[in-house]
Amino acid sequence: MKLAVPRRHRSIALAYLLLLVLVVVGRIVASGFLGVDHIDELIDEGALIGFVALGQGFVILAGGVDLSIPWVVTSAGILVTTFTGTNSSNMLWDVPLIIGLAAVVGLINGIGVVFLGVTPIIMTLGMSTVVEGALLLYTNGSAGGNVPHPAVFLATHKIGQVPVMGLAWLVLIVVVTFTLSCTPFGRRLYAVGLNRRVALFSGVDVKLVTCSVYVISSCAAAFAGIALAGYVGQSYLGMGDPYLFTSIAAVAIGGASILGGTGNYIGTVAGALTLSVLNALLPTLGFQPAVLDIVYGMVILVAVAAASLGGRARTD
Amino acid sequence: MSRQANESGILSARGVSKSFGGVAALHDVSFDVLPGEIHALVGENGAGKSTLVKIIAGALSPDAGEVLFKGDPFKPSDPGAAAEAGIGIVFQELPLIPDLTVAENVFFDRQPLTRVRTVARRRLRAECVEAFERFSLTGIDPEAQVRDLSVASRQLVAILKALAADPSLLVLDEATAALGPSEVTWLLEQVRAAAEAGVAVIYISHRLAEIADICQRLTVLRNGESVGSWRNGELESEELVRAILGRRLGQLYPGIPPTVKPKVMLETKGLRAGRRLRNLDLQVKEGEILGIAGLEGQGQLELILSLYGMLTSHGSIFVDGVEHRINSPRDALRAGIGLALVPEDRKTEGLLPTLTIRENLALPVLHRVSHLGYISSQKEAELVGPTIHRLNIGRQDPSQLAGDLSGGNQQKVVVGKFLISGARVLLLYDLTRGVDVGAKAEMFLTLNELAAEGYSMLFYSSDVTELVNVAHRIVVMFDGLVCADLLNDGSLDEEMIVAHMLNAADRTGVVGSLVR
Amino acid sequence: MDVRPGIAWALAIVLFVVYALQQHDVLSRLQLTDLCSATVFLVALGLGEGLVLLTRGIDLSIGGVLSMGTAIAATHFVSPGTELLWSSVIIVAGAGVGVLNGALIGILKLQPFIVTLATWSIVSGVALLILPIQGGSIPPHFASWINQSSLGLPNAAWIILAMVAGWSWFKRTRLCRRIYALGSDPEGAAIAGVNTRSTLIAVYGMAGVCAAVGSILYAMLTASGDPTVGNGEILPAVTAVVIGGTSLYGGSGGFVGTVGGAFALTLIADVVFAFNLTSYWQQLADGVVLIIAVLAGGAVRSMRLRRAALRAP
Repeated sequence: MKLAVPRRHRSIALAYLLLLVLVVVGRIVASGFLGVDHIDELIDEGALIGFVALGQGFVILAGGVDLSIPWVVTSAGILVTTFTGTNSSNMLWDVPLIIGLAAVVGLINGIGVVFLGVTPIIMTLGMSTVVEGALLLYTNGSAGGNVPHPAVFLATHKIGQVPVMGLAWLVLIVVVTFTLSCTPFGRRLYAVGLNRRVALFSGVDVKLVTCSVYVISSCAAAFAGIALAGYVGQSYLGMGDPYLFTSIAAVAIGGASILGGTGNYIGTVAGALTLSVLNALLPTLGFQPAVLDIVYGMVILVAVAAASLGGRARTD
Repeated sequence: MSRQANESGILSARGVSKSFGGVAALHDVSFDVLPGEIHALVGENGAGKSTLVKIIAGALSPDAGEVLFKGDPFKPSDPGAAAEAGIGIVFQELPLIPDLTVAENVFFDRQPLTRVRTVARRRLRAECVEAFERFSLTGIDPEAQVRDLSVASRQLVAILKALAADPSLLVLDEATAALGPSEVTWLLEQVRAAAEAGVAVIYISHRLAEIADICQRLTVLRNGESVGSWRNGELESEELVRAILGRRLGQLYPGIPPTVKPKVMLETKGLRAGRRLRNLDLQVKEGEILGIAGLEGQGQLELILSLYGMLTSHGSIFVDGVEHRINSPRDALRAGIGLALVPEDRKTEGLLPTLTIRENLALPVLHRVSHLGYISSQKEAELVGPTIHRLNIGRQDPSQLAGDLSGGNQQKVVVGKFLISGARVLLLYDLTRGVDVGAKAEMFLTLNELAAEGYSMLFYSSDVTELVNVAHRIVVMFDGLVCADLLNDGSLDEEMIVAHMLNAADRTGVVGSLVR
Repeated sequence: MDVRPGIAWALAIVLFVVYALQQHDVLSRLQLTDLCSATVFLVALGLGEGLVLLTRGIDLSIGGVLSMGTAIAATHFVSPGTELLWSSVIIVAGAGVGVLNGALIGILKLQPFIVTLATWSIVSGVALLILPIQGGSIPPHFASWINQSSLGLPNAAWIILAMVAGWSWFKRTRLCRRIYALGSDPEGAAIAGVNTRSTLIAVYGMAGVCAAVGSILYAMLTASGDPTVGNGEILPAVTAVVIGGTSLYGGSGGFVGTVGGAFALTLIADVVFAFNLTSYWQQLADGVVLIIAVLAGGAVRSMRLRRAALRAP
C-alpha cells in the first residue's frame, strides 16, 4: 500500500506530528496550557522564530549557513528604537533604511562566500563580529529610546481575535511557500542546493542565487528584529542571541537537510511552532530557561542524525 | 573446505558486480591471480578496472559476488585492513599525502618510534634510505615534502611504498602513466623481481607493449564485463585490440542515414583552452554527427568544456554563422549549445536525482514556462510532455523521480533537457558509458532521428566501434590539434581509426608504440 | 620553509611596537605579565581549534566548554585544595564533549559545524544551569597565580612555553601525522590506512580538553565566572589559528603560528586601548582580521596549487 504522504514530504509530516504530540503532552501535564491568551503568545513567539528561520532556511537550502543572524536581529531592534523613538511618521522611512542596511550586510556575506570563496561559517561568523562592533560604535554601547507605535502594533495588537503578527506570518508563509515551489527562483534554489554543478550545467546563475539567499536572510533577520523590539517593548544588546540556535533548530526540525537542497517553509513553520511550545512548556514544568538551550542542541543533533541515518538506509 | 581445494589463486574474484546509481560499473566479473604470477588487467577507460581495484582494496564493497584472498572470503572493512592482510596497492589517483614527507609516506603507519612515542626521525630516514637502496631507486630526498615533488617522482614513491611493505599481492593501477622510459624499465625490473620472489601481481596499464613485455596472463574487461582471460602471446595484437575495443553485433547500430546538410552549424577557429587544447579548427554541419576520436587526454574534454563555457577559451566560436563569446553554460545555452556529459566518476552530472523528471527537464527553460513570475504547470507540462514521449523515458510519468530511472533513461533525461532548451548543437561526451546494450541501441536510434531533424552533434566516445557506426565524419585529435579528418563513407573501420590515433603518437614520438 | 607562522609573529611584533611607542611603560614587567596572562587562554583554545582545522573541521562547541568551565570554577573552587579536584572535573567534562563531537562526526559522518553548533548550545545551557548569571568567585590565592612569576618569567608565559613544548613532542607522534594526512587528503589518508573514526574522536577530544584548560585559565584571569563568555571567544580562537597560517582547507599549519596569532589579537585590543578608542573597535577589527586572514590563506593556497600544476609534465 502506498502512503498518502509523498516521500519528499514525509519528514514535514513528522514535524507536525511532533508538534501535535507536544501540544497534547502540554495539555495533560500543565494545567491552563493552551488557554486563549496562551495561544496568542505561542503564535507570536512562533512567528518571531519563523521570521528568522525563514532567512536561515533559504541559506541552508542553498547549502550554506548564516551565523550573523543574531547581531542583525539585535542591530535592527536597536536601530528602530534609536532612529524613530515614538515618532511613528519616521517609521515610514526608517524601516526600509534598516532593512536596506541589513541587505548590505547580507550582500557582503554573499560576495564573500560566492566570489571570494570564504566558507559560509567563517564569513558569516566574521561578519557577525563586524556588525556587532559597528553597532556598538554607533550606539556607544547603550541601547535606548522607545519602540515606535507601528512596531508595537505589529507585535502586540489584534485584529478581532487574531494577533497582527500571526497575520503577518501567515502572509509570509504564503509568499515564501509560493516562491519556493512555484517560481523559477525557487526551482533554481533547490537545484543549487542539491548539486551546484548540475545547476550550472543547466544554465542556472549559481552565483546570483547563492548571493541572494544571504541578502534574504539578513533582511528577514532585520524584520524579525523590528518585530522583536515591538514585542518586548524595548531594545537591548544581545536581544538577538537566542535566534542563532532557534533558527537552525526550526529548520532542522522542519525536515530540511543541513547539506541543502531539501525541505520547505511549511516544515520550518512546524519547527518554529514546536520551539515556541517548548519555550512555553518547559518553564511551566519547572525547568529553568537554560534547559531550552540544551533542548535546542539535542533537537538539532537528533534531526541531523536521523536525516543522515535515513539517507544512508535509503542508499544501501 | 571444498572450495579451497580448487582455489589455487592468491586472490580470486567470483562473480563480482557493482553499480552506481543505476549504472553498472562491474557485472559478474571473475578472475584469479596465482602466486608469482604477473596478471594484466586491460580495458578502455570506464571498463571497470579501477572499480575492481577499489573493491580489492576495501574502499568499495561489491553488490554481488565475493573476493577470496588466500582461499578465504575477503571483505576488508577499510583499506588499512587490506594493507594489513598483505595487499599492496598503487592507485591511479591519490597516490600520496601531499603535506607529509617522502619517508613519512613510505612508512605511513609503520613509522619507527622512540621511547617517548614520537617518530624516530633518524631511524625513519635510515630505513627509508635502506628501502631506496634495496629497490635501487635514486634521486629522491626522503625528507622532501611530497607536494614539492614532480608527478613522476610521486608515482615512484608510491610504488616504493607498496613494495617496501613486502606484500603478498601487489596491485599496480596505471602505475606507469606518469613515468618516463627509464623509470618504466626500473618498475618492470622491480615487478619481475617481486614475482620471482613469489608475489602475485595485478598489473593494469594502457600500454600494451609493457603488458606483452611483462605479464604471464591477461584478462580483458569491457564495459564492466570480463571478455576473457588469455596467456600472454595467445592473442595477436589486433585480436587483443579488438577484444578491448569491442566488436559488437551489427544490429546494435541502426546504420547511418545521410542527414548531413551543407549549412555549417558550429565552427571553431584557433580554439585554445587549458594546457591541452592548442589550436583547433572544426566545422560541424547541420544534421551531422561528428565523431571525435583520440587517445586519452588529447584535448577532447577541453574542447567540449570550452564549447560549453566551463573552461576559459581563446579563439572564435560560431554557431549558425554568428560569432558567440561563451563564458558560462548560460552563454552556451543562449547560443544554442547543449551538453550531455558523463563524468569520470559516473555520478551523473546531468541531473538531480531527488527531483522529478519534469523538474529536471524544465530547469534550463524556467523563464519560458513561467508567467508573471510563477511557473505555470500547464505550460511546463506542454513543454515537457512531448519530449518525455518522444525519448520514451521510463514509464513516461513526468512525476517519477529521476534517481529511480535506469542509467540509460537518466541519459535520455539529460539529452532531453537540452532538446527542450532549444539547443541546435548537442555536445555528447561519453554518453553511452556504463549503459546496457539495449539502452544504447535505443539511444543511437534517437541520435539518428535528431540528426534527421537537423540537430548537429559532437559525439565523443572512448569506444572506437561506436564512433565508426554512429558518426558521419570522424576527426582524430592528438596533442590539442586535429590530426585526421575522415569521412565515414563506409570504407572506414576501427583499425584505420586506431592506426590514425597511433600514427600521430608515433610521428611525434611522444607516447611510443602502444601496440606491438 | 613555510613563512605563514612568521606572518602572524610579524603582525604581533608590529602591533607590539606600535603599542610600545604609544604606551611607554609597556616594557615594564607588569605590562608583559599582563600581556601573557591575557593571551594564555586564547593560546589554549587555539591549540585545540588548530587541531580541528587541520582535519578540515571546525569546533564551535569550544565556546560552550569555555562558558561551562568558568561556571564550574566560579561555583566550586570554594575551599583551598578543591581547585585541583574541580579542575580535573572541568577537563574531563571538556574531553567528554569533545569525544561526543568526534564520535558524531567520525562515526555518523555528520557535518562538523552542525554537530559542534548543537553541542555548543547544549553545553551553553549546562553552563547557565550551573551559574545563571555572571558572578561567583575564584579564591584569590589560586587566581593570582596566573599574574605571578616564577624563575624570572610570568607563570602565564611558562604555560605557553609548556604548550609549545608539548606541541613539538606531539607533532612528531604518529597520531599527529595521521591528523595531517586526514586533513591533507581524506580519501587518500583512508586508503593509506588511517582510521578516520578514532583519529577524529582523538582530535575533537583534544580540542575539548584544550578548551577546558582555557576555561580554567580564563577563570583565573577574571577571578570570576561568566556563563556566556564563550560565545564571544569562538571567533578569536578561530582567528588566531587562521592568522597563524593554518589552512581552513586542512592539512597544513601548526601551533607556533597560532601562538603568534593569539598575541596579535591581544595586542589589537591593547593598541585600541592605547589610542583611547573604545573597545568596540576591537570587535570590528577581529572580524575584519579573520576575513582578511582567510582570504590571504586562500590566495597562498591557490598560488601553491598553480605552482604544482606548472611542475606537472
